[in-house]
Amino acid sequence: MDDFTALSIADLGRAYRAGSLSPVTVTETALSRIADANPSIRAFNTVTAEIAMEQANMAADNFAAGIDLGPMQGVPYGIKDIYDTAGVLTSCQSKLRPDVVPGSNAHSVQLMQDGGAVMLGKCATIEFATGGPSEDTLFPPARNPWNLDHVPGGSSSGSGAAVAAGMVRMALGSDTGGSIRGPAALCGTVGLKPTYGLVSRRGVFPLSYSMDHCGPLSWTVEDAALSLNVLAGHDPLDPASAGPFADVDYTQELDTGIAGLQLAFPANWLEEQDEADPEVMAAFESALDVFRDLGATVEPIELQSFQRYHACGRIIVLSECYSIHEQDLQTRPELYGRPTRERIMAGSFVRGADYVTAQRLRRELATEVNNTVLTKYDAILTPTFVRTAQRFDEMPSNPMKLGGMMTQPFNVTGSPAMSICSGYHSNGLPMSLQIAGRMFDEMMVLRVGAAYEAATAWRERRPQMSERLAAQ
Amino acid sequence: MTDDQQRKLFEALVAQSGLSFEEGREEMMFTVAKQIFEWSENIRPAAPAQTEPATAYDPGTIARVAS
Repeated sequence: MDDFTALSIADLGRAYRAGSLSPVTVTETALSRIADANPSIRAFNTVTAEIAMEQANMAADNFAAGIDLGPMQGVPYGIKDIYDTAGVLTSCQSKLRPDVVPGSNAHSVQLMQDGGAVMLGKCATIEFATGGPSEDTLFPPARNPWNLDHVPGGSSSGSGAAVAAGMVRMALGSDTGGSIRGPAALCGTVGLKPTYGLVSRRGVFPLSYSMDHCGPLSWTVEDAALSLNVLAGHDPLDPASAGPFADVDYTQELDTGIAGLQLAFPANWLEEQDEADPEVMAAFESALDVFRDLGATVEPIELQSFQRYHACGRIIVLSECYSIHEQDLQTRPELYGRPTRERIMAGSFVRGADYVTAQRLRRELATEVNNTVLTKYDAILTPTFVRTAQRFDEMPSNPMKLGGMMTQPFNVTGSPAMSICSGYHSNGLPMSLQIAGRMFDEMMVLRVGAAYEAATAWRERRPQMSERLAAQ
Repeated sequence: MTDDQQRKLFEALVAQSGLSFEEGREEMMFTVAKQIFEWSENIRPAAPAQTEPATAYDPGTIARVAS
């Protein structure tokens, strides 16, 4: 069978519309790849092969009839297992939900379905999108396709692993402290956390009401933009939904380059990273040089301390998460995996005064980034992770250790932020770069990412799956 | 807070929650609590407390104002 895994969403769309490739063939190939690789990678909790073939045939019929529902028509994708899917188990990876089958789709899933996309199944997460990778949950944790002994990041673990392994072109994820950007970073994919309010969270199991964001993981920046074309928009039934907005084509500035742009990196945040791997930091410096070579100005800035942003975010997330789970923790705690139970229980140590104080600080920090720094600069750059993926057997016992993520600040501010691959470490694992921008200016974030991606060769390398599987 | 104060606060909050820890994990959870208590001392806003609109902390409002 031909291997179509190298084809992007944009490539597939061109081939479908030219009549040189059928969604049915591509879907059969994708299902075959999942059958081969999923027992090792465990990116999928549930594979919906029957639904996938039905939707693929429908897409093929549409193309044949001249019906075009947009860029996702006929494109195979995965869904993090906290998104409601009508008639399909939505487990949140938890023994508390072994038989929860929703009657309707999450808003984003419905948008994908209306756009003709092909659902391949439900991707692994970490339980309730919090905690850590644990065998003590309803499904086993996903593994990193670049090295199966290493974690793929969380909590959109299966989404990142499935995209990197070429099982899907795109997967839906969610991001409360970095759960789209983290797996993207550790699996070497693109992960876009849109502005708070741009993509509906309706029908997605909450982790933290005021920090949750939904968005795509994909292999290329262009595919992230195409995905956002389908996902972005006002949802009157999500109380946090912004807009309504006019329709935007997020691909329209991808090729315009970045000459003349003003980019910033928070030098004091980098100095605070005590888990930084020198090779990852050197890759970040090299990335800054790439931006300079492309004609952008890159300058250091100073923000309030990273720890202050991080603490603000964690206090809010812990409080809101605990309020969601308190009753289950009191009545059936044994059904949670230990890392999840302990991380959620930590929310009981946050006092009401701390929560309100954190919300007041949040407003101050959001103003610092959005109304001060980003009035002068077009984007802020950091590494996404200051290290590469840890081994499973090196995961810390302390459930609060997050291991070098620089993502939480942009959940605090609500800003759009994207992780892209910034090269490969001598240990063979991907390294990462984070690009954050002005509120609702995803176009700029994507433009900066696309320029970097085009100037580097990182998209030419994929996990060597055949060797990995043969070694199992 | 001193270590002793942190310990007393930890015990009070655990009692209030009605939760219990897996055997042998209490000291780890105290470490977690100390981390949170340190965070809570690091989140004082620069601005003094004052009358503010009730929607000031709604993230949707923050997003709209910031944009």
